Parts: sequence; structure tokens; C-alpha cells
Amino acid sequence: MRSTMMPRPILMLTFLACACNEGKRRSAGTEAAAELPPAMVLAEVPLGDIAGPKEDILRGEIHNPYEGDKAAVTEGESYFHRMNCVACHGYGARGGMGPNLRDQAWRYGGTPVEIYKSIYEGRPKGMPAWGAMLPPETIWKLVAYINSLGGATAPGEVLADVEGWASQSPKGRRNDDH
Amino acid sequence: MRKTISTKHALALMAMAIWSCGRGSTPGREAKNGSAPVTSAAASGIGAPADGTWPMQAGDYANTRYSPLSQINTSNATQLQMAWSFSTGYTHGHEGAPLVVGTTMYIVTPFPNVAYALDLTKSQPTLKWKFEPHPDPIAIGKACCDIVNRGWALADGKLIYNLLDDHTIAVDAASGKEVWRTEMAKVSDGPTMTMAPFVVNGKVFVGNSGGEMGVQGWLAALDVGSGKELWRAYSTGPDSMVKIGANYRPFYSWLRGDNVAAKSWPGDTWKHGAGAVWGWISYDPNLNLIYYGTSNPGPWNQDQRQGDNLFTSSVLARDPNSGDLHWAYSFTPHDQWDYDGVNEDILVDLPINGQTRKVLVHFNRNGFAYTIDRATGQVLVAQPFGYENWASRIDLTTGRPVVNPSMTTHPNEWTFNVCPPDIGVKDQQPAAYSPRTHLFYVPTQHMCMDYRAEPVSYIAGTPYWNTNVKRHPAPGGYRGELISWDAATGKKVWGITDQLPVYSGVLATAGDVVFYGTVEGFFRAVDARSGKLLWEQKLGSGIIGAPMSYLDASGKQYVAILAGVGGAAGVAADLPGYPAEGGTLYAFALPPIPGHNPNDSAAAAQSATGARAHTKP
Ligand code: HEC
Repeated sequence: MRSTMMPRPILMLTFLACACNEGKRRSAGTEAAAELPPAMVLAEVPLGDIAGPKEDILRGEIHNPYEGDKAAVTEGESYFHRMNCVACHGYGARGGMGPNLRDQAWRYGGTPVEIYKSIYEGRPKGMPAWGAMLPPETIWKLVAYINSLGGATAPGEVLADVEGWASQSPKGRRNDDH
Repeated sequence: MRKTISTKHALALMAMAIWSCGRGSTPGREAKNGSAPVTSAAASGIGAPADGTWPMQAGDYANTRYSPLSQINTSNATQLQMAWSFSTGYTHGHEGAPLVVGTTMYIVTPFPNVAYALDLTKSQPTLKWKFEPHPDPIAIGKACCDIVNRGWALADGKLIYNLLDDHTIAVDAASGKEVWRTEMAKVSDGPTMTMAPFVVNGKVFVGNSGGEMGVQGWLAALDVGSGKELWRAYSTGPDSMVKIGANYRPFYSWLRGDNVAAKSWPGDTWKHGAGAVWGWISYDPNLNLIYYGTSNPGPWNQDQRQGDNLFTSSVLARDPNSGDLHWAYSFTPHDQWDYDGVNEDILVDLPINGQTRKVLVHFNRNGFAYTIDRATGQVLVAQPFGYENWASRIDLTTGRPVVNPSMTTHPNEWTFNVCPPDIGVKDQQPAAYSPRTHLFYVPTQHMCMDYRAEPVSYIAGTPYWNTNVKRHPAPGGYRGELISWDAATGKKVWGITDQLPVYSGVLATAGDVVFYGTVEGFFRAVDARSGKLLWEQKLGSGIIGAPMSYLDASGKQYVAILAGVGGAAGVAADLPGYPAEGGTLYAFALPPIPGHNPNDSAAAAQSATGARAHTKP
């Protein structure tokens, strides 16, 4: 499988550099400035699958810099209210004007980087783009909060997510598909 | 001119004008030249035209939803059968009533707001045209309560309706081609449009939705011919924006004063104070006033907007030509429970204390049914028409509710067991009135809520809302009821309870049959006098549309309804009995039904062998 991969050396180098620093940041909690995945790497993450013989590895490699950080989850939840996400996505993100964010059905992907990108870029059916208003740290904290709700996909499970969520989802239908 | 035409004559003329523009090769010409005075005179009557058309959402300007047709009556309604059906191809809440002029029926779907014209000359109606406006999908995420369309209008040979993405659009009724499209607001900022346009004398009136999105509510008049905006009147703000001038004479003193719709707010909070105009409009041609209601104030956290918050949760009476405000009345000044005032205003003349009064009857979300003098804005009767506990009564000398202090809401605190809940004892689903029984037929909810609002900042394009609401049934355990109501005395006559909210519109007919639907999906005919269930039929999805009645080319009476659950009935989505989504128009009639051949021996023989071929109607 990996043999078909066409590495993108520069991007990967940048990305790995960032990943190496992650450990340091994490021990410092959210007070220290987080080492975030660079914007140019994020820009490379596709919304669909990749045509041709390339493999999409980024979705599976990019971790939330606040992964496992409880303070970031709490902060993310507070932003979820202060930015009015809660009124569209519902209390506990159970769905409303916008989709449920705690089940395993994702329109635009449920890995951390895909959730990040949905928030940053906005989505066509009424999801505002927050990239101009919120700094990347805040968006990653929002991702950490959404991730804590249990429906998100771990970066290493991209394939399972793509191939199998529908049949494995214990949560059944989305009650909010509009 | 108006007074010299008899009602009957005028009805026939109006029907002719609309009929010919709906089917003629030069649509609109006749109506354009002749419709204005004629429709005005016609509207002074109660009910849809006697010729069996249904030219506007409520059948008439008075919003009675009364059909003068009587072939279907209390003794034969038990035999009703499905005559034909038509799938819209879409799901989500299907609101609104089909319109019929001439031999064409018009319907519009929820977003993406596709319009269909159906040819009723065929025994099994066929598609005349389909029109796809392709509204901006951004609108999907800005609509608080599903992506519904509440209704459409026919005038001047055009089908006129609102797109969810804030455009009002006119489509040639004969060809299905777009005539004009006017952008009324920027959907990316939060407002949407869901209400049914209403046409008077060559002007079409439209308003915005978005009471939860920090909008400033407005009603606008557009020229039916060109789509050009003629005036726009806001619900909140300084007198110039609200169109308050010399003609403004509200009945109660607390509704008077310089810039009262700005000064009843702290600072400039009126700018995002809502008062959206997403409900119904009615018209009295003699007083020459249009009536409509406004939404809840925003945000739901009352602490951010001390004051009466005029004119939210209000009814407004305006001159249709100039837009000038003549009177206004706030049902729920400083609302703190989401009690919008957008429900329909039904215009009838009723004997009150021995005197015939020109009144407006309004069943408010807040649980009180108001009978109001429609010339002056004086409240004559205000009684609870369902279960409520937020106010002990409406004080008729001041016109103000006497609020139960324990139901006051505070930021970041739960207030428990407020009745009714946000969707009210009745929401926008329209009631009907029968001039034969003098009763109103009212679809209601029987629910309460726990309410907790958060302080919230305005961010364009996002909700100005942040309130957690938990709804539960009111005492008794059921959640909905169709009631009949005597508005002269303020008393309920009979009721039929349901496990789920009753969220469909209602039709009353001259056959003394009342039609309505349930969220579960039963379409029902009941006796208008006794409330006895005569007939019901389970449809493919839940019913939140509005029934209407029409005659086909041969003069046979039908009753039609859209089924397709959604809208605010979605508050019941997790309850047992809530059906799957759908989107189908159904028409019912008494047998024999054209196109159905039960006695065709060949067809019967084939169906018996399970190999029935398509029989030509
Ligand atoms: C105005 C309502 C609205 C607001 C405010 C809003 N969203 Fe959304 N959101 C939506 C809608 C609608 C969609 C679906 C868009 C689509 O399918 O094109 C969506 C999609 C998303 C998705 C992608 C879901 C998926 O299934 O792939 C995420 C993640 C998300 N929103 C997070 C947020 C966060 C975090 C905030 C606050 C910073 C927020 N949203 C604010 C309406 C909103």
C-alpha cells in the first residue's frame, strides 16, 4: 500500500518538524504557544479523495496539537458557546440548524484536520468560515472540544472512516440532515 | 366603485381575471387592467371564491380559510377517497396550501423552492411545468426551523414567492419562466425568507425570517409587475424606519411617544432586535389596512434588552399604499419566552356585548386568543385558548399581560415548567373560521418548557440566540389538540386531542366539515359543529401543510393537502409516532372518482391475477 505513495518531501519535512515539537508543547499545557501544523500543510489536505496514483496521507498524519489536553477541551467548549456555534449545532452539538457533531457521520470528514478545515474554510450549506475571525489556536481548541464528544475519527483511522463508518456507526441516522 | 359591486359579482369577476391570466396566452393582461378594484371589493367577503378556485393562501384576504363548497358534507365525508397524488421529489417540512386558478394547481417545495404547475383538466393531473430557481445553499444553515416555504401567491399572471436565500421571485404562471427576481436581504448575514407573499392592488408584501439571527424585522412592498421595491417598514427603530407619522394612533398610551420603537430598547439594541415578519398578512379593503405580526425580540436573553422592545411580538396595521403605520399592539411586551406574534389575523365581524364589531381574531403563541377592534387596536376579548401559566390574564384597560413573576427568565439560569413553550399554544399553522358556525378552528400545542438563555454577542451570519430549551407535555400528557373557539365570548367549544402537536393548517367548508392533519400523518374530516371525527386517512408523511378545496373542470369538489413532516413540528422528532420525511400532494374526493375504474372488468380481471397493466384513464 505505502509503495504507491508519492512523497511530497518539502511538505512532509515541514510537517514532521512540527510534529517533533509537539511533545514539548504538550508538556507545557495550553499556556505555552502551541506548535501548530503550518497553514501550507493544511492547505494540502484534500476535501475529496485524490485522483491518480497518489495516496492521501495527510489526513492520517496531522494530529490536533491539543490532543489529550483537557484544558483545551474546556476552552474549546467555551468558544463553542461564545462564537454561537451552539445555536446552530445544538446543545452538546446534537444538531439543529447545522449537523450533529458528535455522531460518526461527517459530511466533510471527521479527522482533526478535516474538522479544522470545515471550521476554518466554512462549508457551502450555511457553515460560516471562521478563518478570518479566529486564530488557528482557537480553531484547534474547538476541534479538541468536538473530538471530546466522541464522534470524531482518530487520524490513524482514516481508512476505517472512509470505508466503514456507515455500517459500524452505533448512532444510527442523523436527525439533522439539512 | 368598490361599494357598488355586489360581493357575488365581484367574486366572479376576480375569479375570471385570475383564471384567464393563469391560463391565457397573454398572461396577466386582463388581471393587470382590471384586478385592482375588483379584488378589493371581492375581499370584503368571507371565504374563497364560489367558483371553486383557491387563488390565495387563506382563500381570501380576511384569512378565514373557508371554502364555500358543500358537495362534501357531514353526511358523506365518511366516503372520501384518495383521488390523485403527486410527489414533490423533496423532503423537509412542506407548508402552505396549493393554489388553484382556472384548471391549474400551483405548489412550491421547501428549499430548493421548486415550483410546479399541475394540469387539472386530466383526471389524473399531469405536470404543466416545473421551475427550479436554484437558491443559494448558504440559506440552509441560516434557517432556524427547517427550510420551509410557508406559501405562494398568484397575481397578474404570475406565481410569486420567496426563496429561502432572500429573493422574492415572480414566475410566469402560464409558461413557468422567470419574470423577475429581487434580492431583499443578504442571506450570509443571517436572514432568510419563508413567509407567504400577499398581494393587494398590484403590490406584493413580503417580510424576513430570522428572529434567532439578530435581524431587524421588516415588511416590504414590491411592484407586482416589475419586482421593484416601493417601500420598506421596519418593526424596530426610529419613527422614520418604522414609518410612524401623523396617521399613527395606537389605542394604548404605552405604545405612543417619539421613536417609541427605538426608545423601548437600551441603546441601539433595536438594530438586532428581530421583530421578523415571517407569518401571515391579511387585508381589510374597507379600512384599507393590512395586518401582520412580528416575531420575538432578540436575543432570547431578556437581560440584554430591558424595555418593552416595540414592535416585536406585535400586530401592526399599515396603509398598503404608503406603508404608514396606523396602529400597533404588542401581545407580549418584553417577551422572554419566544412568544412571536406572527400568527394569522383573521378579519371578521362579530357581535360583542350586543354590538357588531369589525374585529381581528388572533391566536397568539403566548396562549391567549385576542379579539381586537381592527380599526383602533383595542383589545375586546383576551382569554387563554390552551394551557398557559406565564400570565394570569390580559388587563383589558391597559392591554398588558399580568406576568407571573416566577416565570421570569434570567441569563444562565433555568426557569422550569414555563407554559407554553417557545413554539407556543399555537405557532404559524393557520386556523380557519366558518361564517356558518361562527366558530374558529384552531390547531394547538399542549406543552411546556424549561428555559435557559445565555448572554450572547452579535456575530453576523450566526444565531443571536444561545438558549437551551427542554420541552415536555403540559398536564394531561398529550401534546396537541384541534379546538373550536367562540371569539365573541372567548370560550372553547370542543377539542380533539393528539399525542403529538397539531401543526397543520385548517380548512372549514360550507359542508360543515373541518379538515386538518396530524404530525403523525392522519388527514381528518370532522363535523364543524360537534367535533365528531367523520373520516381519516393516513398519508405518507406527517402533515404540516394547509388544506384547501377546489372544483375540477366538471365541477366536482376536491380537498388537497401537502404531506411532508418537518418545520417546527420537528420538536417532536424524537417522540414515538413521528413519521419519516416525505413530500407528496394528495387530493381527496367522493366516489366515483374520474380516472379510477373499479368497474372496468378487464382491469379488475388483470388485477386479480396480479398482472394489471396500466389502464389509460
Ligand atoms: C449559522 C449556523 C452555523 C454556525 C454559527 C456554525 N455552524 Fe458549523 N455548520 C453549519 C452547517 C449548516 C453545516 C453543514 C454545512 C454543509 O453541509 O455544507 C456546518 C458544518 C460544520 C462542520 C462540518 C460537519 C461535517 O459533518 O463535516 C463542523 C466541524 C462545524 N460546522 C463546526 C462549527 C463550529 C466549531 C462552529 C463555531 C465556531 C460552527 N460550526 C458554527 C452551521 C453553522
